[in-house]
Amino acid sequence: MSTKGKNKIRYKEASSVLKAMAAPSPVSSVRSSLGLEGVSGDLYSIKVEQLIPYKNQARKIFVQDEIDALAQTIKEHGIRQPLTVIRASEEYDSKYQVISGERRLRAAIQVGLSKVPCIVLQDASQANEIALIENLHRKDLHPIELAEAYNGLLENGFFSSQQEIADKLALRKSIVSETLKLYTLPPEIRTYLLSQNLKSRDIFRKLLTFENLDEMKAFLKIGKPQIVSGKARAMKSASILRITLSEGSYNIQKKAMNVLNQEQKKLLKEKLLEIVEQLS
Amino acid sequence: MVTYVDNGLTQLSIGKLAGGVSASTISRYIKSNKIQPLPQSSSRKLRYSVKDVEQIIGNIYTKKFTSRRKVQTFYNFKGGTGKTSLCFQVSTHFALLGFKVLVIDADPQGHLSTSLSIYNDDNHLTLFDVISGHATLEEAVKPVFKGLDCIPANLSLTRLEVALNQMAKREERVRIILEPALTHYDFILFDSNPTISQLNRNLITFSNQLNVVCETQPYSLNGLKILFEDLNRFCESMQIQRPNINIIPNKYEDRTSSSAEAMTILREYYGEFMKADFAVRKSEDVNISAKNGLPLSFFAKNNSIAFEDIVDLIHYIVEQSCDVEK
Repeated sequence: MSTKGKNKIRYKEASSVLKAMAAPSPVSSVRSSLGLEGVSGDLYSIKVEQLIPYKNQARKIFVQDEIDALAQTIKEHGIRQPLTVIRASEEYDSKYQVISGERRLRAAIQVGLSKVPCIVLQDASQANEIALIENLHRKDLHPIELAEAYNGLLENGFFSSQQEIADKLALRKSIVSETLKLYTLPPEIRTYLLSQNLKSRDIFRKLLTFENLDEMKAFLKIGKPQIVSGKARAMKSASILRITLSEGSYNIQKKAMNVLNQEQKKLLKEKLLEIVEQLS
Repeated sequence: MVTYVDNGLTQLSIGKLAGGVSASTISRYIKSNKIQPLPQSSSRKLRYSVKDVEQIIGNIYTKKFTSRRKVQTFYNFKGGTGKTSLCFQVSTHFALLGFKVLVIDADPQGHLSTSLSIYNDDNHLTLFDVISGHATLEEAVKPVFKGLDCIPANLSLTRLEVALNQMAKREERVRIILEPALTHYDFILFDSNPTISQLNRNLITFSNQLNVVCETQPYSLNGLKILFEDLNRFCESMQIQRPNINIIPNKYEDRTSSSAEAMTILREYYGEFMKADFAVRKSEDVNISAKNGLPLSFFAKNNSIAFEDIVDLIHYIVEQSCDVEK
C-alpha cells in the first residue's frame, strides 16, 4: 500500500537522547581528520616541563593576582580550554612553545599539575596569528605590547599591511596605525611606559610630538619624582589593605591594591613580607 | 550476466519516468512515431528497448533540462547506508531519461560494477590506473548501455591512496584528470567508499553536489553531524565552495518509531538540505534490483513503493541539478 505526498512520512517527537546524539555543533571534536593536520591540530596531554613560553609572546606582564585567581579555578574545575602549542624543533621529544595559554600554564604549575591539555599545531606559520588573536581579543594587553606585537607581525611578513591586521582583528585601521606609532618611541621610553603601566592617550600623543629622547625624558620626569597613573595619583595617602578580625575570622579588603603600579606593588610586597616574618 | 538488449520498459514505467505522464500519452507517442516493442515481450505487457525509451523520455521530459551540477557523488563515510544501491538506480535511470552519464565506481569493493554486470574477475582498469597515469580515460571506460558508461572498480583501487599521497595537488588530481570528460557527458556520478580517504577528498573537491545517503537510525544521524563538521573544515582549508548537499533519508520504515523520530531530527536540523517530506522507504525491490543487476524500472510492478520513491528522487535531483528551458 503506498500513500502519496505528505502522508508517506510519519514524524514523531525525538527523544532527548537522540537529539543530544544528532544535534549539529560547530566543533565537537578538536582532533583533525585526513588532510586537515595543519589546520586544526591535535589534542594531547603534555608534561609541564616540556612547555616553554612562545618566543614572540605578546604579553609581557603577568599579574600574580590574576594567576592566583586562575589557579583557584583550575583547582576546582580543571583546565577547560586547552593550550595551543607548537613543537620547538623537529625532534620527537623536543619542547613545545606555548602560543596561547601561558597564564593557564603558570596557574597549572602553581596548582601542581604535572600535565596539561594542549592542542599541538603542525603548522607553525599560523602561530603568531593565533597568539596575537587569542590574546588581543581579551583586550588587556598594554598598548605598547600591542604595538610591539603588530610590528612583529608586519616585519615577519605574517601580515602585509596595517589594513590586513585591522581586517583580521576586526578593528578600525586608524586604531591599528595609532597603536603602531607607539613603536616609533625609543625602547627606553617604551619600557618605562610599560613598567609604570601608563596607558593615557594624552601622554602617548604628547610623547609622539617630541623629536628627541631628552625631551621625552623631561616630560615623563624620568629620574625625577614619578608621575603615576590617575587613580594612584589621587591616592597620595590612602588605605590599600585592611584586615579586620570579626567573629573569629579575618576579613581582607584589598581592592585598592589593583591601582598600584609595579614599583609600588614591589614595595608593598617587601613590607608585607616583613610582617609575615614577624608572625612566625 | 544481464543484457539490457533483452530487457525493456512498459508504457506505464516510461510514463512515470517521463515526469508522471499517463500511459495513454506514451501509447500515442509510440504509435505516431511507429516505435516497435521488443519482440519477446508479451502482448499484454509490451516492453520497449533502452534505445527507444531514451528517445521517448528524452523528447517528452528531458529535453527541457540542461545539466548544471554535472559532477555528483553519493557520499557518506558511514557504511551500509545505501550509497551504492541509490547510485545504481540514479545513474541507470538518468541514462534512461536520455542524459549522457558516466558513472564511476570509487569503492574498491566494486559492488556498483557488479550490479552493472562488470565483474571483478575480469580485472578491469579502474580509476587507479587513470589517476596514476597508467591508462587513459578512454581505455578505462566500459559502455553499459547507450547513454551509460562506467569506470569499474576492484581491489586495485585501494592502491590509489598511496599514489595520491605522493602527487602534487593530491586533493585535486581527480578533478584535474577528469575535467576534460565533462564535455562528453551530462553527468559524472561517483559511488564513494565509506571512509575519509584521500580519494574521497578528491571527490569532494571535484563535485558540484554531494548526495548524502543517510539511514533513518541513530548512528547515521550522529554520522551526519560528524560529516558536516569534517566537510566544512575541509572546504574551508581548501578554500573551495562547499558542494551543494542533498541528504537522502534511506531505508525508512513506516512501522518503526525510531524512523519517525529520525525524520523529525532530519527535518529540524537539516531541512534545508532535503526534499520535504521525502524518504526512500525500505523495500525488498531495491535488493532484488541490486542482485539481478536490473534497474527498478525494468521489473518493478505498478504498485512498487521502491520505484515510486526512486522516480521521485530522480526527478528531484534533475530539477536541482539542471537549468530549465522555458
